[in-house]
Amino acid sequence: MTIQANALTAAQATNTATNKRVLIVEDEPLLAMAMADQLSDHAFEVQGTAPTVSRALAMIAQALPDAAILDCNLRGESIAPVAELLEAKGVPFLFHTGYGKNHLSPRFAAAPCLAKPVPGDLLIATVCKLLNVAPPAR
Amino acid sequence: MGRILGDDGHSPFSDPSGRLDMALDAAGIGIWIFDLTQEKAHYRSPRYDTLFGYDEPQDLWNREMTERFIVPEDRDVLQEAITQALSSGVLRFELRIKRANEEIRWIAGDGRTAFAPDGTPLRISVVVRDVTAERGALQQYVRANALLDAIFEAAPVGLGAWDEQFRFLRVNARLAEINGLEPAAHINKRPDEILPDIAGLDAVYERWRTVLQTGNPWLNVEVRGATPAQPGVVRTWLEHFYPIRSGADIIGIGAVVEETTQKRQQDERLRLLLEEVNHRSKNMLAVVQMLVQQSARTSEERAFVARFADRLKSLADSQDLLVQSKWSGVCLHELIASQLSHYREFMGTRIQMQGPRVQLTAMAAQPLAMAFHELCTNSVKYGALSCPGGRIAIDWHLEEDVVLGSMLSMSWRETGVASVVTPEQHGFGHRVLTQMLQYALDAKVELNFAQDGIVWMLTAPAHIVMEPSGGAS
Repeated sequence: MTIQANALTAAQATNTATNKRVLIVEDEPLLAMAMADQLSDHAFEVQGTAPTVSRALAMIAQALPDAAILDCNLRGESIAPVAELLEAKGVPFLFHTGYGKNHLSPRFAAAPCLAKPVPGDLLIATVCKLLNVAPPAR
Repeated sequence: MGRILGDDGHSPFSDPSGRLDMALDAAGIGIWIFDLTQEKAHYRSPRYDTLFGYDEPQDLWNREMTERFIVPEDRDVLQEAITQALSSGVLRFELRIKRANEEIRWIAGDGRTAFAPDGTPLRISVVVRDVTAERGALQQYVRANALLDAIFEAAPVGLGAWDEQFRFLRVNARLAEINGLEPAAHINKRPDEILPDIAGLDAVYERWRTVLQTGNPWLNVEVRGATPAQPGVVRTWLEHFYPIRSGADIIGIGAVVEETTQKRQQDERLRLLLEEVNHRSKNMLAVVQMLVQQSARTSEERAFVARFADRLKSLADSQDLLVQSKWSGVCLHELIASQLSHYREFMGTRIQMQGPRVQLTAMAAQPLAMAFHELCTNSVKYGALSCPGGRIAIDWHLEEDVVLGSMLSMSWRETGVASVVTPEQHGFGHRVLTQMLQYALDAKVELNFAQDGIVWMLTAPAHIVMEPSGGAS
């Protein structure tokens, strides 16, 4: 890829990661921190990290994110209320889970589901796809 | 008084003083002598009329009159009783009458038939009593008993009762089914006589004696063994024993028996599964460690692997404690001791631990274990365990916050460190000690680089970090 082609891609994409805000809902602190780092490294803005359903709902009420990464099980609580709210508001999201996809309600079958641990840049690639933005250069 | 009524104008009794009437009146009984030859009452005592609701004795009384008072459903009863009495000589009936004031009463009669020498019945003499109260009490008793019987028999749990010699008084269908014996086969037998394969009956009898003596129930008892229902198959039951009282006395022991064999098997399967999962996760950690070790080539990478392996070990240790406690919480004391196990020789001297017994939640155990691991590693490299005069004081206590409620507050305080270096860049250890704990435990964390050692302080809501039981395990 030439420098010119790269510049063209960025110009063509009406959206870039730079101004996209992502919410991370994850109860395992190290994973939440690592994902936040990864997103920041790729020029996303991390709206916040929420370890519980109630915290996540409060954050969404404060400001709608552009996309969200959802752990399916938060300290024994189901993520469903968060997913339902995001769906209602038209915010795209992906599931990030230690359980399989069949653990999820069929209602959310359209959302991508990444199994823990997620290799390399698959998380970033999937978030980019959700937001319909080109993967930004690091 | 002393008015003996006879339709033929003369009385068969001589009662001028009226004593017979008084006695009959006091006993509440009426007498009626019926003349079969004339089809009319030969004699009635005054009480007889009041039984039928009259305040005053009536002048005229015959068999039809009596029959008129009997409620229609019971008229046959009297007819049959009389037919019987004419052959057997004995009259006995119990029937309902409707009194003159419309009140329904139960009347019982006992009588004899007098026969002529040729066998012709002459008279029937009947003693009549009002038995309404007795009938009512009996009916209530029968009804209550029937209800108790139904409850006892239909109960989906085993119910049993024993006398003071531990002999079965009664078992319900479910307990008989559990034991695999007919209900009747239990009665007057001790459990050891009919259920020889129930384990530890002597110990059970010992406790039963206490129940009889103290009157205190003995609850949640697990009983194991085999019964004739499934010979040779060891089953389990959850049983509750309680004293059966009669007034102030304890006259026996009652039991509620619930089969728990299936539940026990499920628990056992779950335990094995949990063990397997733990085993596999520990294996997985070992494989991860091996992969990282094998991937390291340069000396820089090998130094990284050493740090990584230490952290992995710390993680595995905290996992071990959780599994040992069946994920029901870890003692804070033990958790710290396990993370500092390499420096056991300093415990009580250079390392002082002080605080009440605290049972950490499974959720809090892992982040705290990681934190203590990082503190310890830092101490060995740069802090109190890196120089001869260094000391570490680990303290914790519970405190009340007006807004947040009960809080667990803990500190790691190093002293006697010759030269404290404030790092220019915060590494992973710093993040674990601050950010991670804040996130995982809603904790307030402070990490200060004081003059003679670092001071780390954490305050977290007790409902997040501590098991509800609070303390002693």
